[in-house]
Amino acid sequence: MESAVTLADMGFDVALVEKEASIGGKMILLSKVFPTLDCSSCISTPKMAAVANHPRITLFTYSNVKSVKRDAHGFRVRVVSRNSYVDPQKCTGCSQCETVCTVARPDQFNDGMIARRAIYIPFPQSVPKKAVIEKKGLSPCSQACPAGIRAHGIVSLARAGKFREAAKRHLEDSPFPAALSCLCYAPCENRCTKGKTKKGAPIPIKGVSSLMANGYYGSNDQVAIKTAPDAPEKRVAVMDAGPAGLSAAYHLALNGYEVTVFTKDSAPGGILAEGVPEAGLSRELVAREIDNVIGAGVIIDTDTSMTPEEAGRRGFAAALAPVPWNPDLVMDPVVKDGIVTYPELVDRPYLLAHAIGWGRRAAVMVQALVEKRNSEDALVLVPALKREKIPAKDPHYTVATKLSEENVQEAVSGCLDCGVCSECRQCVEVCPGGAIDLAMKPSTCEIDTDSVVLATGFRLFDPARKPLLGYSRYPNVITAMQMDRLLAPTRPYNALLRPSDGKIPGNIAFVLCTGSRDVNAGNPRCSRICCMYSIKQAQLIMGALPISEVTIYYIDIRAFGKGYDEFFQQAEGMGTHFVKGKVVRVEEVKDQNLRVHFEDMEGKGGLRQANHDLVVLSVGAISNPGIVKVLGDDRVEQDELSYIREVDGTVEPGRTSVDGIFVAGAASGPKDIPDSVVHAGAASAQAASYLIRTGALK
Amino acid sequence: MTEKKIGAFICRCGGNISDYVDVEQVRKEIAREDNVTVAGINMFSCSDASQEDMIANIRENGLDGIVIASCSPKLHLNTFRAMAERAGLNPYQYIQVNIREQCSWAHTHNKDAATRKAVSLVREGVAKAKLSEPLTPIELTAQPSVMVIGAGLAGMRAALALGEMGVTVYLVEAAPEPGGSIKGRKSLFPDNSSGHELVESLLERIRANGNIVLYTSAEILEKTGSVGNFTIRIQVDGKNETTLSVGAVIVSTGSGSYRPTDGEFGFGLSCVLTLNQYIDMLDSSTDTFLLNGRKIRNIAYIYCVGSRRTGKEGNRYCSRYCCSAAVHTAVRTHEVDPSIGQFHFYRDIRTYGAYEELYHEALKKGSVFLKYGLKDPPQVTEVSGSGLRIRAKDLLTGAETVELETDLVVLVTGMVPGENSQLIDILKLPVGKEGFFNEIHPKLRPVETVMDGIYIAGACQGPKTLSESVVSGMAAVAKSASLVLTGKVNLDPFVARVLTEKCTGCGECISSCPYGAISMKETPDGTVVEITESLCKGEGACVAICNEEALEIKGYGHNMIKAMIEALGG
Amino acid sequence: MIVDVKSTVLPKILVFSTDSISDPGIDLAGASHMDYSTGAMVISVPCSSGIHPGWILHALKNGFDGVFIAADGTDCPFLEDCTARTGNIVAAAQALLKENGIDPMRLKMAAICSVCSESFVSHVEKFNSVLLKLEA
Repeated sequence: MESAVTLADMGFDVALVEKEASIGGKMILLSKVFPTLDCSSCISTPKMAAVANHPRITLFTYSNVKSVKRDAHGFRVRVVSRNSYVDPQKCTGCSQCETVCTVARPDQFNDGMIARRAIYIPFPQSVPKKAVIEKKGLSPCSQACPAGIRAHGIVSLARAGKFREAAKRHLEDSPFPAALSCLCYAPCENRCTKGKTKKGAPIPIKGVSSLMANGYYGSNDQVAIKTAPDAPEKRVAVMDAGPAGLSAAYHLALNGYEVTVFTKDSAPGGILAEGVPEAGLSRELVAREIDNVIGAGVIIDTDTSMTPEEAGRRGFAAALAPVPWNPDLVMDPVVKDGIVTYPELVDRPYLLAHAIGWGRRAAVMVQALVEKRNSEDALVLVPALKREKIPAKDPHYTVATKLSEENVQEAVSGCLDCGVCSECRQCVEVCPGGAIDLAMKPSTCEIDTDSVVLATGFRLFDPARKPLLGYSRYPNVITAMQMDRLLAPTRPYNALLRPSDGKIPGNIAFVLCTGSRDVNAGNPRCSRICCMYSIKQAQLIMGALPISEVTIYYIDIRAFGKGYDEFFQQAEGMGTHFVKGKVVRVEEVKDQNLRVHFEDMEGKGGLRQANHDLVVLSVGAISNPGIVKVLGDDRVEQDELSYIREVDGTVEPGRTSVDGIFVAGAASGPKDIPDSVVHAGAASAQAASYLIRTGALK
Repeated sequence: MTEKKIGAFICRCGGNISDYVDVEQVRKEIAREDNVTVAGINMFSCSDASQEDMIANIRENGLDGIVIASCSPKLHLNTFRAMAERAGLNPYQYIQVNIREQCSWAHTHNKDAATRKAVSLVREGVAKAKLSEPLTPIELTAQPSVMVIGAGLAGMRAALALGEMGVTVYLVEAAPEPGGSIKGRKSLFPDNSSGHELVESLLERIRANGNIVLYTSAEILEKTGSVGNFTIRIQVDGKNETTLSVGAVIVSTGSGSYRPTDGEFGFGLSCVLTLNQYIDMLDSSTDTFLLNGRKIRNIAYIYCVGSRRTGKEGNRYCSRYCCSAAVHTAVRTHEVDPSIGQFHFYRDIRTYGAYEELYHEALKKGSVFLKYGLKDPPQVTEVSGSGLRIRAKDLLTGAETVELETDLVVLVTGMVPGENSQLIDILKLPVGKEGFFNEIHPKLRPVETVMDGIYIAGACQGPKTLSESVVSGMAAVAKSASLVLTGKVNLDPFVARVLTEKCTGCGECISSCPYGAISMKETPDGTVVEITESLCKGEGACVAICNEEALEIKGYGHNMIKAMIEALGG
Repeated sequence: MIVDVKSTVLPKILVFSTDSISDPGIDLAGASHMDYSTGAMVISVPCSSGIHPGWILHALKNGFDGVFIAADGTDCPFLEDCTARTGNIVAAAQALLKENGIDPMRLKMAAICSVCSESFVSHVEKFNSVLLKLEA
């Protein structure tokens, strides 16, 4: 941010690319900052606003740089803005979507200590304050459904206890929730990742659907009957009252078409008309499902013969008709001469989902035909099936076990949320601005720049790599970033509590040099920040919990910056215990308390132990070299620890091995905030000097 | 004043406001207010369509003030100011009233009360709009030149960077030669580069660049003017005076070195040297390694001399560079003569970041480290015939007393502020309690001072290593370049003004201003104060202390605030 | 001369906030749907060291029952000694209130940072009950 504002202030146009949905980096997440104990947010937010409002800065958040290529004029940078599925122009940052979202994810902005939703605004001070949806394609279960039903959405809604909403969500995709829950051979369950884990059974999606459908039909809530729309130019005839025909008719009617279903039979439903008792599908349930179709505004004309040709003569704009099942032919609807044909199920009710899918696809094709537009985008919603995916022989019905609501709740709680967003569409419904669009596509743009500044910062050492310290094994061993979040005013739990039991910790230990000055951990260097942030946290803890004891295990206290040693002396004065000792092991003892084994370097010497009820690992900084890969032929040199190397650390700060590419802040080596900010200023000066020398200015 | 025509727009924010506040009620009540020509409701005020509607409204009705009651100004103040500008209105005649974060969202349980509060808030906004006046940001021109004071490494590098940007630079050095503290050094940490070569190569580049004028043996006599337009008088060689006009000033006068008091750790004894003295000796020795004609077998280093003290006995701060400089020197010594024993009496080894590698190197080469505490510092005494004896408690071995005979004691002394009292006086530089120059804010504005247009760089700001000094020098380049490259300074219009009819000329406000922006002015009607807008930051410290209410910040005037209070309280 | 407020009516509190520090903190309270008295209403200024004591008196004479200064404290972007300066304003205002026969308890100051939403709400609520007691 500092580099961007400084360069923009000098009169250069700057594009700032940030991978998260908000700018602010790690600093905005901190509680207070050393050595002044200023509120971190109070320092960051004005800078964030300055970046966002600067007329010369174009901000790309939630975006990644895919490539940087040098050309005759400078660099061509390809930036992919990740798909947020939310129109930032329409989002007002009101958070209503977060309250209805049915998928929880660990909150990366609280170091995973609490959950956020799949749709989220990063944190209260976000810039821009816009929601984004985390979505990794379609979950396997949803993808597997031949009818295009968002199985994951049904499961996540059920998990939230929203069975009615689940049924409504199903009805957006098919009018046959009950029939499917009885008949379908459940490819969704086959694909369920949970079923592929070592001891996991797949989520019983059929059972969930059954409970959902029965609950829906059991309630007094009737399907509202719509009258058939009066749309003469959108009149469609369907020559099939079986599942595929009804599915097509249903979707067309939902899209404003005037649809008439013709059948020679005396009742609609085709192979479902009489129910499928051996699968537990009663006639009554089928009748309710056909009511869904009628409710959508479809006219069903029984005891009537009709041919596509006749329909054409009667002025229908399009006609749909089944063709006899032939496994050797294309298993997808076909459009020809204004007639859409699709395979007919005769004695294969287990393939109901396929029939519904064909109906949906046929409906899309009809719409494309009538409205004279491309059908590709809409067809993506219900993918065409590969022939080999259709079971060749009857897989027999497995009548879904009747599950109670509790059983279901328990079963669905195991859902892994593979695709993250479940497409339950609750956010779409609640958003007052209509900002959410699950069909949105990511955008890519190419930026021509004259110079590139890399300010990609650092990562924190993962203490799980030091298993003896107990992180991820013992709940009360946390990282300093987690502690900082616990101390922040915008913190989780709203209090400083230890994770295992929510007890207020009374005796807290800090283990310095976790992943720093440690050849075995791959980082022989000192990370520069850990001593100071630990001392800061110690002071904040003692302020928040005056009776607590805080012990800092250190090798050397490196309080070297302006006002830092005074800050250290202040912590000593407040009663923080400083123990010169290297912690070798942390073990859990009674009540999930922890015993710290350390090599006492001062005092008595030797290996000693002490008990604490919370251990904070002051993790070091490591390099974050991902960006180097996108530089292609212009890869900048890196040092032994993969930080971006400054070619001359003494007189040329910020200059990399590649002309025109500069490095700012902790991307060239760990730095505290003041040092990073000053370094960013220096990198800007280098970039500006380069731009002026090469004649890029103006 | 002609009657203002104000348009007030209440935003529903798609329910975020209208679910908890009866916006129609608010609109009705506001429509009744004097001067309110238009009162409307928007579904989403920030949407393009609503903005276009409002623009049309402003133009059709000739509105000269608008109020939008919507979300926090932090989100959309700039959006709507830009909209006002597009509609041909001065952006400062747009008033945003926060009825979302500070009303509907805070009071979700009581629609009546929230609606009443919203009405009061919008009335306040209307009151403010009535009295709002068109403001324009202050724009000053800036001279396209910079003065860099102090030609140490940071100053030289800064001057060169500016010169390479095409900026005229006056590089002013008090000493007869540029180069500062490192010019004679043979080997600097961490990469053993030669100070002499560094200085020479920079000087060569400076000379080759046509934009830099170097003054040595020069002294600053006087500074007038303010950001963008300073006039500085200097004297060279104690005789020739020159007056220079510059847009900005970078101060990089470096630091001094702590001089131990006589007897402090044996200082004054012939074989007790400061680190700098020892490095001089290393730099000047060739292959023989002698002190007072005797071969050195053992060296003891005592760290933190003159740093990290408590109470009144010395400097409290850590000098940052000395640990790394000392271990680097030890490594050099090991390389000159591996047989020399080296003993380090330290408190904490602060070889931070990559300097840690130097510490490892020293350990690997055989340096021995002993930790002393402030309570029992090492005692240095002279032993006749055999050199020095050092006696200390080593905390690493259970505070055992260690006695060591040594040929040489090196006192690792820290940095102290340079002698700059005259410069401080002339430039009005802010000085911290340790005597180093103070930045405005170590994180937000680390090289800027409260004096706009005057930047600080290098060790004059606090102890720094060489490379860190250069980094801050370059950061100061970036800041000053944004002034001189664009040729103008843009300042917020929210600065103080004097209501001269009320001013009694008492001058109380002059000392209240931390930026020296207020001065006395004689007028035919008596003495009043006047504001130098380019120095004013608009925080209002002067406003609060003037009993006559003769000072106010534009956009926050007394009448306006009082009218707002009345609108809210009524 | 305080406008006579019926005890059933909420005390009216004028809050002076600062544009870059305490106003965002108060925003956050609302954004987190924390509830506080609807009688509290905010005027934002650049810095708490620029609040004129006369405004405080003016508020208490024109319908407000209390004035709360949400000060920048140590987070002030302008002045290192902002807290001391704001303290001086409070002292001057309190003298002014005494002269005018107004209880100095009606003025309160606390540092509110940009994320101090909880602390803001608790200050307002406490102040509210103090003012209610004064009315009784």
